[in-house]
Amino acid sequence: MSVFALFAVTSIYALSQANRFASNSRYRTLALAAAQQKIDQIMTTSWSVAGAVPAVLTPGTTTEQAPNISLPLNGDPFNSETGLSSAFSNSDTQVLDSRTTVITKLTDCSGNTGSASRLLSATVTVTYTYRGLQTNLSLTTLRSTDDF
Amino acid sequence: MKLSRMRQAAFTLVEMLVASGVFSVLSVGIMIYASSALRMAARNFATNHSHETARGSLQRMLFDVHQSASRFQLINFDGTTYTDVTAAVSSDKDAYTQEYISGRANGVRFLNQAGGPYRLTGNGTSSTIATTDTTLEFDFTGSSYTPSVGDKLQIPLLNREFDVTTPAPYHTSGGKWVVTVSSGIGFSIITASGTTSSGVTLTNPVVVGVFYQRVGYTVINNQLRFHPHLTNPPYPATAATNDVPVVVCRNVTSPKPFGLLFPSASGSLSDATNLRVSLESYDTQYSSRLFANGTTTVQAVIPSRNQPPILSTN
Repeated sequence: MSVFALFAVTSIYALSQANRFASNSRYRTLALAAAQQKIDQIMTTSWSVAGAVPAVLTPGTTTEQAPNISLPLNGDPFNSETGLSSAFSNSDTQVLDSRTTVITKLTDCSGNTGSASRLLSATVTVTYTYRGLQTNLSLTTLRSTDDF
Repeated sequence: MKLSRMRQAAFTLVEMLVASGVFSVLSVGIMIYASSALRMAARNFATNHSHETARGSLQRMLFDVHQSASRFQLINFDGTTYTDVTAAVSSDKDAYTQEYISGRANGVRFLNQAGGPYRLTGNGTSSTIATTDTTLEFDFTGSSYTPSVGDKLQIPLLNREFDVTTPAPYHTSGGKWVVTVSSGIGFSIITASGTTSSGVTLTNPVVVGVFYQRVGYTVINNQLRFHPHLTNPPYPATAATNDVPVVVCRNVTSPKPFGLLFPSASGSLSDATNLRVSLESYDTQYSSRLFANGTTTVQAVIPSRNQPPILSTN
């Protein structure tokens, strides 16, 4: 009886852990998509030498998080609309994340620094908490002007 | 007759009741354990399957959509007919971009680089190309790409693009093919050593062209499909014989995952350079239970690689 109880408890715990890992892996993929979207935005925003620096490339730290902006990591509330929903649309377990973008001007190849620089680095960090465990995921890129 | 008075071995009633009780408790324990273990294992599989669908779909779409060289055109596909969808803004505000989402569709089409750069070798009969020529010969040696009607041709030297039209491209010699374009190229070009019409002598000049094919994604019958040879517009049109889709992932449950973005809720113009995807997946083999954490919804806004003003028309 004791052996069986020990086996049952151990295997149930192992299966619970497997489920937790599976869910966490899923959230990590979704967080990666959120970070990738910001990196894509940084990489594709037009930035000409002759023009002003676009808002998305302005040096500094920007944080998107609730309550100002609600970022659903798993689920899209609009998918519940007529014509867009499926039988499973309300089976999402919502996890909100926050996204922090840090833009830093670097010294470019001409030696320019500060606002005159045509080179910047961007670090995007997506943070979420699932079952008490806070997870951070970061992507970094470099960006220069479209023209020289 | 002598009666046997031998004592026969047996369990007492109390012993039997105790044994039955222990067996019952053990059986119930095993049943509960088996039920819990099976349910948790099934949930694990379901979660993994929905995650796999989301991850595979996202990776494939990032790869293809990032390579897009045109604006995105939403389409609806009912399994037989493609119809273009005019993107109109809705009141739904995308959380990650703070822009407004268009009405959604179950498909999208765009142009992807199919091959190139390939060297321009003449007009099919001569190495010199006149401004009004509509036939161009390229050397495709070493490439698996074969041009076809409906493709786009960009010639960076001219900063122009052309539609490949009928008659169908034909093979000349070696790896060379001649394509017919929709209009005269507008320039005089020499593709071999010689003197141009303006008197400039060139040695072994190199002019190249890049070809693009119309591709698309659709979601139908819970499948995300990639169309490597999407039927050419105008739409409505039925699928052409060479339009054979590839199933990228199954278990996609969102009927219309594709949309475009508008900068304002009252805007009438979208630059159509960002594709919004909201792809919901669920292990449909596990659908009867609808457990609360079984769905995966991946949201992505994917831009095309080329941005205006060098985007192709679609």
